[in-house]
Amino acid sequence: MFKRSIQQIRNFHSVYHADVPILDSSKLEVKLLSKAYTDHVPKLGFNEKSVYEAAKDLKLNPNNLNGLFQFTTPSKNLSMELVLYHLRANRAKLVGYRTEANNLANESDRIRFLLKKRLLDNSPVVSHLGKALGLMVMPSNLGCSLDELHKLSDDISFYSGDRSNDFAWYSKRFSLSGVFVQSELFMLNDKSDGFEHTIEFMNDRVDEVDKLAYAYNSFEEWAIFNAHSTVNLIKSQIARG
Amino acid sequence: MSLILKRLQSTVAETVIKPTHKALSPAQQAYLERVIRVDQAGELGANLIYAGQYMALSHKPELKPILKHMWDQEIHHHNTFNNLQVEHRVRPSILTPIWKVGAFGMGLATGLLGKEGAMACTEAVETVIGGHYNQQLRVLSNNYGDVEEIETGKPSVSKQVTDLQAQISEFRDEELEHLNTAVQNDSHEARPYWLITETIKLTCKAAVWTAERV
Repeated sequence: MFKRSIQQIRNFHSVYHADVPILDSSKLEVKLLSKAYTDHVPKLGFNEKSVYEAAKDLKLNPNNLNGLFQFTTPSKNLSMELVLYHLRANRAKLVGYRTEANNLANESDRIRFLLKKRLLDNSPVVSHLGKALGLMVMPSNLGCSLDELHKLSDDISFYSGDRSNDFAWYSKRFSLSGVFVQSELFMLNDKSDGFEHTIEFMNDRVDEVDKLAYAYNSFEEWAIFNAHSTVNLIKSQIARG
Repeated sequence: MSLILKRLQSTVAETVIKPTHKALSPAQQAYLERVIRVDQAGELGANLIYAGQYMALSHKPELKPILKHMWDQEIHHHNTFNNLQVEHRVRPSILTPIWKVGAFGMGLATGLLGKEGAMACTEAVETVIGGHYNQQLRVLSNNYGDVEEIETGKPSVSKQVTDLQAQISEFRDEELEHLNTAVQNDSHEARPYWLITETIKLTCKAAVWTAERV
């Protein structure tokens, strides 16, 4: 359970080396899932039927699909592969929003912008999202889904210009993941125009995280200042003799 | 100490550089990630050890400039690795809070033992770190020559790796300079010398092993 294969380790990012793409669209599996996701999932949902239909469109033999996926994917499950495709494709889309995000003044605004874009990218499949979430939390799939969730919050943090070097790195990503999951659950029952209630909900959650971070940083500053001055006070008393 | 208050807000302007080489293999990436994580944690530790020693010993005028000089160099090393960690999207060690408390405590405790104790601590730490950096340089020069260039297809070492090598060897030399300073300032006079140095060496090795992994 604790042994992660080396392929799963997040990519070391280097400007001098080509990036490994999130989805390799030259692979047959990815082409098939892409076709299924764009053409059939909005109507049929995240299930094997969508993939069968896509296979027919691509003139593949739909009876071989389990063979194609059984040996090349960790989840060994067609519907789950479709869900993972949904997560990865939408995460890959975030790269395209980076330039627009860079025009925003501060990190919090960029995080809000990217979260909003990511949530709205759910809208074509939102009626089937509940079932997808159900698949994601199944014990056998939980590992892959949490991995994707962490990669999403890591990407959003990186694109929004996060420069944290210590435990804040973890707190930031955990709270982002929390905000995203809560907002996605809220989105399932949101009937408002353009999901404006979901966006409002997400903004409120980010506000809460910002406030908590501010409170913690202020406390830390106060504590370190006081520790420092106590030591200096003791030193000066000793020096006086 | 002032460093803890400052939250290291140095922002580096993002420059657009075109990739020259194909992607590194997963094992090569994993090793680079590990190098940056452990070195960042190590320099954080070094920085805070000197902070602790400085707090205990800065009232001695003959020692103050020596400690300050070494501390400033460690701050520079620490900032460099912080920037590398952010740029290369490396996960920092999850035990960072423990490294902070442990390193500061170790610096303070050896500082309170007096000048010799502090210098023995420096000697032990820099011995382990010097060897550790040398080991990394060996791996970097042996295992990164097989990545193909995008334009010509010839395998060569990318600027990514040579830059990191230059950085690490510069820092290694400075750490060994600190080792010299410590020996010149009576680190061998500390009592019990072997107990202090061997304990600290063992602690450092254990910390390096852990920080590489988590």
